[in-house]
Amino acid sequence: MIAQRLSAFFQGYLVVMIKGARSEELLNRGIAGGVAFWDIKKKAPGTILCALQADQYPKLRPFFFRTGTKGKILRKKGWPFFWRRVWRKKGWLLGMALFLSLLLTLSSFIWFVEVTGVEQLDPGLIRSQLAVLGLKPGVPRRVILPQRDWLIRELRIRLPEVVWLTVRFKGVIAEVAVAEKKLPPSVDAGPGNLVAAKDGLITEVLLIEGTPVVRVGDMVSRGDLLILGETTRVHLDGSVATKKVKAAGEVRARVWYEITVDEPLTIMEPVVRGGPKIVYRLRLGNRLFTLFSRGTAAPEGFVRQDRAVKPILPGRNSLSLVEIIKDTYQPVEWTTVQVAPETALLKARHKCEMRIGTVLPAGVQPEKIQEVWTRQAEVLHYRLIIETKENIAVPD
Amino acid sequence: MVNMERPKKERFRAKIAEYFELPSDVVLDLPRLVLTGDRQLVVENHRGLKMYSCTEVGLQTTVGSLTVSGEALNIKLITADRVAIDGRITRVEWGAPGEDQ
Repeated sequence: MIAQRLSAFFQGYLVVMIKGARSEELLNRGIAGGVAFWDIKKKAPGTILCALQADQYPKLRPFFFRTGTKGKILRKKGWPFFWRRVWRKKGWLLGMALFLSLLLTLSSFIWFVEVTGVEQLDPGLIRSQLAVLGLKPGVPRRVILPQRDWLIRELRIRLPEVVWLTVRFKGVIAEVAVAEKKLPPSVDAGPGNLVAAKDGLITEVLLIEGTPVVRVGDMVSRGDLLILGETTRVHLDGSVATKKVKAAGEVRARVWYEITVDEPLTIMEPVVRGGPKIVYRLRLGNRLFTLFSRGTAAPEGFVRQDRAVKPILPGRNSLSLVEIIKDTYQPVEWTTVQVAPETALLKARHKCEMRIGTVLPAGVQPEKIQEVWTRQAEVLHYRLIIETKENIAVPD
Repeated sequence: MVNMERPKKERFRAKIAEYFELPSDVVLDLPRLVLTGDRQLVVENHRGLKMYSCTEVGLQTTVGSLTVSGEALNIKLITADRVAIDGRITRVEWGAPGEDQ
């Protein structure tokens, strides 16, 4: 059937309306005469629409008279008719030819140079180097395509910060993908002191370089000098020589952390009163319209229990702009409930334990844990004091 | 009953086709019907269109009239030996040989 349709398209075909009581007989006579019909549809009693090859239509003419039917050509389709129509509009044809030739010509050039994968390097620098090597907007593809390997090699020599790169040509776009070298952070070798990163009681001083200015048992505050970046030497002749160095060592200290939680002893709890209320809303972009509601849903005294969102006409946009929202509200009455101090204490303890990991530095374990709580009015104040031993010396 | 009424020559042909396992639609000049679900019916070796409407298509064949009933019936293609009918086909019915001829 496809072969027959293709043949009909290239030879040209007609959509014909046949009117008359004996239209079936006309079709039979046509078939007997070698005519093939397709897409036959009965539009009304005695009216048939059908398609047939254009060169076979004259064979039907005698049968129209013999069967008392009338034929009317409704449409002429297929390549010969299309070409005849186009050929009449020479201006349009010329414009199309010009457009196609322009499209072909313009698509044979590189118009965009895209640089991807850069983090530290300036894409402009890479583009300027590429331009020097011959790859810039406006260069013909046939000139640059054979030079691709050479271009990659040369660019790698010119950009020592790059560990790998490639150039891909996608139509009019030249994409340069770059992977930069990851260099280790520079080490500051200049002189410097070590200071306290936090408050603490010093328990141990391990000196590698410099002069310690604190002793075991000293209490230090954050920012206090711990090891001075300077060494002093007394020569045999009595002269004193000082030298600036980069202080190195560890100063271990007992450090305390505190986590505080206030747990209420009186809370408001909702008690369900009556059946749920349902509200349907329409969201258009950022605007929300209430469509209708089942029951009156006053904002106060109601708690939203559930929300169902149904996007409408999502199309190809992943952000749904039109949605139907169904909110289910539950009418409630707020009542005051007393919490037992033991329950509040357990809750507060649990909250504090959850926060220990966020308060302590990585790798530091608590040495001692002490908890203190007091009750004030309707609130339980809970404090967790954690003691650790850690190195507090950091470069200033 | 129908077989009994067939002429001798035809019965001989049928026996030959059966004996040599030849396709009977070719040897006996019978119509061949291919029904695809309820969507399409292709009839090969027909003898003309008798009647056509959106709910019924009547065809003449060598063994009698064939009536195809259904909804939204379209004749997709009709040539000298082949008819393709599209639509929702609900019934395919044979009439007696020589009926409505």
